[in-house]
Amino acid sequence: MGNTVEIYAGKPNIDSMPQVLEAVERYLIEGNVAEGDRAKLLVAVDELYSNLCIHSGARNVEIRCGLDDSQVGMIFVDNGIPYNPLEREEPDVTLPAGERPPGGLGIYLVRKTMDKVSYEYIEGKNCLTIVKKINTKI
Amino acid sequence: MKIEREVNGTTLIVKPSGRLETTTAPELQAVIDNELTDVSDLSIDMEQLEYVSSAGLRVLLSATKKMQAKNGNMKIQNVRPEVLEVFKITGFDVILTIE
Repeated sequence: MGNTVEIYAGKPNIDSMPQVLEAVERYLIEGNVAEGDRAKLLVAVDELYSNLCIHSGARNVEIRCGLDDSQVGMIFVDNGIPYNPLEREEPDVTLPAGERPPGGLGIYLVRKTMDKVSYEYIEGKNCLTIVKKINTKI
Repeated sequence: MKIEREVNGTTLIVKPSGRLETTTAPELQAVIDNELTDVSDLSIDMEQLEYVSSAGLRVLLSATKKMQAKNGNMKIQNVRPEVLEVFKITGFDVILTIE
């Protein structure tokens, strides 16, 4: 993936979401990543960072981003409660509106739109990595 | 996020622009909560919507349930490919009436 850049480091806080999204978007535009791929990656960042802000209890999160000609990778490292989102049961996406619970789609969306999502718990930190192959560059 | 509205009798057309995600979804939710009292037909025009995350889906689900409960109609118009893909992955292409 080559060098990575720091997108955000600090306490996860929903108020910093626009700043995080803008930093990721700027990085992807500078890397000539096409609009469709950017949209998927920004949705993934929204899902993962909002989960961290709301549920993790982390005092610190570091988000880094890297890319090469064929893929974009991002890593989220936080010192919150150990939690592997990939163990979460998949939602039933065939239910009609009236039977749908209001949540549970975020990590499912990430898993379906990214090419690789992996989780490790290393030295007291949650490490979540996402990789998206990019087929078309601008 | 900017949200334009067009009211025509009991028809409300809502045009959100930008991103429908965690920090902007509450703005559209406020429209759904406060402005549907006299509305029988709700259209959400997504031409200017760049992407939708699960927080946005939650608002659309809430709008769908609200319109169903009052026997009204709701449709989604001018969906971009990036947004349509999110709808398909989550089964919202079946829940929503997409034109």
